[in-house]
Amino acid sequence: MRERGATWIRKAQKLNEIGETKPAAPRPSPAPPKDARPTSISVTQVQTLIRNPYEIYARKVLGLKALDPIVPGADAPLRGEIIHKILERFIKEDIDPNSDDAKPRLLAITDEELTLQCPWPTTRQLWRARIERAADWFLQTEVDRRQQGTPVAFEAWGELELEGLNFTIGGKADRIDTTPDGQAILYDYKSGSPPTKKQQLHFDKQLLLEAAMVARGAFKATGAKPALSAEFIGIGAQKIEKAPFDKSDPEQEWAHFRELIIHWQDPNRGFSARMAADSTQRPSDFDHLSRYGEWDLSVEPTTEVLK
Amino acid sequence: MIFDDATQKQIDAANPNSSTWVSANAGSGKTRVLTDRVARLLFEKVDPKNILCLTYTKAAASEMQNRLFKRLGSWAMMPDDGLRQDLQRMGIAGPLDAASLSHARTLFARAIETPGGLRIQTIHSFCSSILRRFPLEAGVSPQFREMEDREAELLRSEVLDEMAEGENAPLITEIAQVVTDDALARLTTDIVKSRAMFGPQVSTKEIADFLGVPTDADKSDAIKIAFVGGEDGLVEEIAQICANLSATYQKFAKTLKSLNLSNPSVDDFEVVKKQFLYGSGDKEGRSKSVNFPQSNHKPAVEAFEPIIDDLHDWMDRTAAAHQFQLACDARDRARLLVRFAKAYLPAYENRKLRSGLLDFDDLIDKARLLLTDPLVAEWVLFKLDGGIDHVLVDEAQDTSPTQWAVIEALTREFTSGQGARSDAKRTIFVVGDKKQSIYSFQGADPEEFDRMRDYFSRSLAETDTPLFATELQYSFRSSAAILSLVDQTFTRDLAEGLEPNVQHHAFKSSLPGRVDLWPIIPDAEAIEPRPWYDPFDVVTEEKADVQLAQLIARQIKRMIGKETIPAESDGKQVRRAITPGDFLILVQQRKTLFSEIIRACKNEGLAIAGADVLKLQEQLAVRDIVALLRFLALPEDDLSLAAALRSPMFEWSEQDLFSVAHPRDKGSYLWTALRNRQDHPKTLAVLNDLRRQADFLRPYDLIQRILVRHDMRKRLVERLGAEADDALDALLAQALSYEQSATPGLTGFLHWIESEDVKVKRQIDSAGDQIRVMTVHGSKGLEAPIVILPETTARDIRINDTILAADDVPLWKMPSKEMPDRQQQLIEAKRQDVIRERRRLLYVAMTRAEKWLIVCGAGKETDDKEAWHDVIGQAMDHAGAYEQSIGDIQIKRYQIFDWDQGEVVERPTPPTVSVDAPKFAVAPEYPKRQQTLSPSDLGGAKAIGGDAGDDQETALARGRLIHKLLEHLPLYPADQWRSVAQKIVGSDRDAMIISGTEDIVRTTIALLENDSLSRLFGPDALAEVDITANLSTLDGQRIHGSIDRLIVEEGAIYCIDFKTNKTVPQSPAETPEGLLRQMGAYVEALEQIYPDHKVFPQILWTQTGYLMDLPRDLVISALQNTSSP
Repeated sequence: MRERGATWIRKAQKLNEIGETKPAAPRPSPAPPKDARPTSISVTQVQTLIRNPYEIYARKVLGLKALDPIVPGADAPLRGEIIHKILERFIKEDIDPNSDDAKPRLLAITDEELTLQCPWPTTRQLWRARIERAADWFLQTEVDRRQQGTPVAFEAWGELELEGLNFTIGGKADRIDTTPDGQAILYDYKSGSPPTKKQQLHFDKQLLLEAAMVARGAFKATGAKPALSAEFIGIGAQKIEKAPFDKSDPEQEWAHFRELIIHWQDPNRGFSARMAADSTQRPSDFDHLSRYGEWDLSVEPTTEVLK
Repeated sequence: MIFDDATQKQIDAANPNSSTWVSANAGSGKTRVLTDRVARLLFEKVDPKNILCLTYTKAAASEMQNRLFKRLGSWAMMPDDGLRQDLQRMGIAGPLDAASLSHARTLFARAIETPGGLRIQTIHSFCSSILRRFPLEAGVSPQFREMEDREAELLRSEVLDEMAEGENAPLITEIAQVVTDDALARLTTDIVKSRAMFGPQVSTKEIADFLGVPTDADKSDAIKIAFVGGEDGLVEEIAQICANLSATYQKFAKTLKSLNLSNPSVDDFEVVKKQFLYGSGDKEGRSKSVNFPQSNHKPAVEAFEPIIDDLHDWMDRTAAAHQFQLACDARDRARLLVRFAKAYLPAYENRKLRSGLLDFDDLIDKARLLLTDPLVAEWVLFKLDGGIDHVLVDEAQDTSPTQWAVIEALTREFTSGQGARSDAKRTIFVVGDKKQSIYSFQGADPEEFDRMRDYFSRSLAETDTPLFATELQYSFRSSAAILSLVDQTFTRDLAEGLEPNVQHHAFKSSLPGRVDLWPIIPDAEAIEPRPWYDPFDVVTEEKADVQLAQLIARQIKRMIGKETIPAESDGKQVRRAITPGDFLILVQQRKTLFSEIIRACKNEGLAIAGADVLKLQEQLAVRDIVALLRFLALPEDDLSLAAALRSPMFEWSEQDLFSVAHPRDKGSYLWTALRNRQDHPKTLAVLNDLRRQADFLRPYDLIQRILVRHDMRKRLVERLGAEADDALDALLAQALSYEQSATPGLTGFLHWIESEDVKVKRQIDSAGDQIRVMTVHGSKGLEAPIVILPETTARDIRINDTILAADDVPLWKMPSKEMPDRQQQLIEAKRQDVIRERRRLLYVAMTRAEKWLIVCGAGKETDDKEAWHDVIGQAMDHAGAYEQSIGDIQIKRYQIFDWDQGEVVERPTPPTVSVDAPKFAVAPEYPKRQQTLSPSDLGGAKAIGGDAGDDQETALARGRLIHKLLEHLPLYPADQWRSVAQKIVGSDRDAMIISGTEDIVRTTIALLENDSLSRLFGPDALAEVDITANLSTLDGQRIHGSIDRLIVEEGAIYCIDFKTNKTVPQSPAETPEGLLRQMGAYVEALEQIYPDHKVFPQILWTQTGYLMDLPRDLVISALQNTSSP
């Protein structure tokens, strides 16, 4: 009886049997023809181009992007957005950071913005406290900043063409101050921790490239002015991180950037997935598209020259 | 019957007449003892419903039940002799007469027919069952439901939001000052977990007492500790001494001189702190008195000699004052915690109660309260008492104190000797192994094991069944080589946390065994990052974890090919070839090494079972299906569509995707671009079918349609492996369970599945002859001939709790720099607990091995004396290990007996029977019935380009209406045409969308009145003639149409079709192709029916009343142009 039953069990198993297993997907490195390659990039995307070019390919060549979640949450990007807005408003109001009004005003703006943009009551309190904690530190350092220069541009868009390459770089500077002797200082607000000098040297090129851009007059709001310095202002970590001009000045960075883009215009150069990723790299929206998981970082990318 | 020592011990432990406490070594057959005991209880005529057997996991419960039923079931059909022997082997003494044998045969049926089944269950399900039985008494909703993790997380944050908007808002503001976003979520989790600590008993005084500061002390009181008077004199002396010393000391004196010592302020104290205490490093915040002046500053040491004691004293006072400050802060923080928790917990409980939810801890907690509440406990126990006479507890070392409290309450009446039926015999049986307690994160406490043994031994002492405590030391599993090494490993200091005297005996005393220690693979040098402007593909093969994984895979392959393993055959020592199923690889955590090993084994082509636990969202197969579902829910979701296309379901290459995605216009959707192309018909067919279903099918059915109808399961599994199969099943299960909790819509399902963190446990079948990789925790109760331990280098200890308990006084863990000593001591104690538990974890890992234990590792070699590699290495040196080379590596080996003795035998493999899949399930697709074509639908234009007039819908409606009028009006006398026409128009739905019906009626009547057309509407003309035929021009396909007017005469047939086009062609040749094809089809059909007639095709253009003769050749050649669909 059991044997007769077993036959049917075997038959059932047969139904689910899979044929030959197929090899896993390779680590992709698509190389589109020259005229399909991106012709512009933003300063913040340069880091992605260095670390995960496949993402740039998917975004710019395939024109894909992830949709926002159906139910928005109180996440870090929103927090960044709100903090930017608060600081922009505060600086625009031109209040003396030294005065007694400064802190109450900063917090009043904070409350207004949070009420407007953050509907989660607990999160609102947490973010308010975050700004309150950093307020004194911010105002103190703001005093120094005002001594150095005057804020002239906020959320300023600038772009610049790489001559002869038909390639444009663009970027938004959170704030640009000018000094009395005609130099520019770039600031970028970070709601968490600013990137370290090492990160800036190896991949986070935002400020270094913006500095080169401001010197070339990419920002209409300021005109061409040499950059005296460029700083990340880390609100969460209460930390200022300067762009390492001493290790690599903006001129050199600009030359290197040009070199980078020339490399990427080679039609045989594949946009490899997670090209120079390290363990610190966050998951990308395009990991699934690239079939990450079927391959891992110990697999050599397979270049596919596209027609 | 006479038994050997090991078996006799087992029989004694299983004796159902005495309460028994068993400490059982790994592999000593405790599950067997437990099963035997239940079987013997049943044999002694204990009613099955009076037995409660508590196991640790659901899997263990069902395993136990299966074993028991198997045994009882085999008795039912066994011949007398065999049964008698079996019973005796279990230790049932005395004469076994026919009556007892037939009684034994009935046990299976009795056990199976017990109402509610045999109670072999986890303590959670037991507690859940009593709460369901006494909801009123327990104060829970009769329909209570257990919360999922995600649900609990949402509930916790909802409670926070509720507080932030209510009267407790200031409390949230206050707490927000000291925590960040994630920390608050962690804090509430921990508060809920340790809610017992926040009862009415907690007082601020206890907190302050524990930290060693007064309740009302202020931080600034520290000044009084550091400065006691007389410091000014001391500073003078210091200044004099330093005047002759180096600049550093002079500066030191100068700083001290600047202080206001007559009335020191907080600032002064800060200055002193900087001078007297270490500012960073290990000794941060400690007094410098241990080395001031620095011992190598000889002149300074001498010069300070006279006052050094006073100075050191002052330094120590400063350190104490600093500690005082830290303690004050910690005290205030703890108070805030208590205030917050006391507001939070009631709100949380309230919300839970309102929604009829219980969390995991509630089950145990509420059951414990129910059983110990003086008001109802007696009643509940009285009602239950009819139920439980014998309690058996498995894996007792992992039972938490609260769980013990439930068991204690249940057995209270056993010990007092009173109860509902005081004549019934009652026993308790507990089996466990303190050495295997590895679940502290679920509340287990190994010390509790001894405490409870003492408790039962005390309280049962006065009854007629005092507690019989015994130990099972014999291992039926492992070779003496493994066991002696285990004993050797856990000696002296390392025995702490296990048992004072770890000792094992091998039951199979002559079984060869070996332990191998491979060298540690060191971490590769960190690679210098390349210049950022030179793109370069980085491949991380160099990592030690990856190398180790590859080494393991290579070695396994070598062992399977070349080595043999000792085996027993009919009591004889033999050898057999190694197979993949012999290997069990145990890791401590499911991290890189875990997945790398699986990958490396797959790459070597080894049979491997894959991960034992899957995170659903991380499974590619699940992500592929989810991407497809997201596209179906929202076709504009380009990225999801692209991801689905690139998945094994559609197998698009990068080139395919590029060709469709790249050329499309900015702002246009990928789906639109795909739909407008012809080059992916298969993909489009699947997507179109699913899109048609997506709005109607429930998520479960939709996924099934993808997997079965479109055969995607096969495609996914072929590429992603067997795990994908399990992951897909789990996804389907999730879809089903979603339907129970919400409206089964696609969008809601997607949102839910993406926010839910589902882990799926896979049952890895040991019979599958595959390599198994799992965590040590997951390997509990398993065994394998060969065990590999790859994760043996030093491991960090992190104490992540936000709440520290000091004798049930809750403290909020301070950041490391602000942590007072008392808290640091608590942390240190916790670290020690972790270290002890890791030793036990190693014990569990080592004892899984039967014959061969392999220890290897990757990463940094440290001097951590707890690292498993070192610990085992030392024990091996002690035992007498030797060097050996295997394959390409040099290893250390410890071995007993001759591994290669005996002849090599084939392992009996079950004969493989090949069967065909059942035909009904794999029948080829039913051949499609040939479709009948409509002559008016053979392709080609149907109107002249640039045809004036209406949109398609109106034109069609107009055509239908005119046809209708022309069909019906001729049946009436001419004077009624107008009124009939009005009636028809009035009741026709097409007429509603046409403007100017009056016009239509007029032209139609004009046609009827037209004398030249009178033949068409006369009595000889047939109206609306259906016609069907197979046309050879269309490869024999069948057409079916309806001819508007057919006039059959002698030798000639006129076939007339009405056309209502507004633009009328000037000549037959200009007639639109589609119309010609239609006429051609009629002609060919009619010629088949009337072979002797000549067929004249004609079109009546209703717009102008022009009856056009069409040449036969024209229409036939148009028909020939029809491309078959």
